[in-house]
Amino acid sequence: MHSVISKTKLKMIKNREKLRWVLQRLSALLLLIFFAVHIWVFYFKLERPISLEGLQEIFVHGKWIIFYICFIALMLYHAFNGVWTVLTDKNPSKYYKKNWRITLCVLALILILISAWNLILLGKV
Amino acid sequence: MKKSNSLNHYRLNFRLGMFSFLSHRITGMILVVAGIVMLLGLSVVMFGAFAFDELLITLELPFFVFLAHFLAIVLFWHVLNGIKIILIDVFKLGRIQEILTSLILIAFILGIIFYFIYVFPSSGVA
Repeated sequence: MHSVISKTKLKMIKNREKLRWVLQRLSALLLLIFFAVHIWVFYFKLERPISLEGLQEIFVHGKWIIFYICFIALMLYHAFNGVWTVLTDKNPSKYYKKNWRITLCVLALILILISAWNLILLGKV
Repeated sequence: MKKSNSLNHYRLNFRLGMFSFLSHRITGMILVVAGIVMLLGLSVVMFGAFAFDELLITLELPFFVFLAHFLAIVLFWHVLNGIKIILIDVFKLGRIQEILTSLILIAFILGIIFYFIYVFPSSGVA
């Protein structure tokens, strides 16, 4: 019985790792598309030199706020997934992994919330 | 047998593949730190329009412009290396990974030359 549970757990961990691996590649490809749009906005849509008025013209539209929140969330997912890979490279203890998982998730959530708030403010100031 | 540490392991196996692996991690870490600083830096907008204008003026200082160019180059390498990793994973090109690394090195050098000819002069530093 114990061995069946262990095997199931091991399979679950392996599947989770596989999913994380796939999502890291998928997020990288999506980031390329998001980044291309970001370059287009900042180099071709926005007037140079960059001013608050210019940025306001973009962030007054909800669609651009949503776009940038998605971009930032995806970027943070990709970044922290990479950090997680580096941190757990040598298969550390469960306790260490749990602590880092919580830290990275909380940090990502805080950064997304702050960024979303900043983008909304940028369209209003 | 003496157990070798990570640094020793990297030093002893330092080939093109290891260079690619290490550089991807180092550039990734640089980008994570820079990204967090950028996102937090944007919070200046909470202090009003005047503070944000001051931030935009500060970002035009040569040091920050240089930093932006450095980050663009780091990002370019990270993206090229990332594309190589995806190509190896999807098309199972592990056998020719050294050739692919050489190719992305050439693409990187060409990209940097293009960047310094066309983008760098218009940034106000040169």
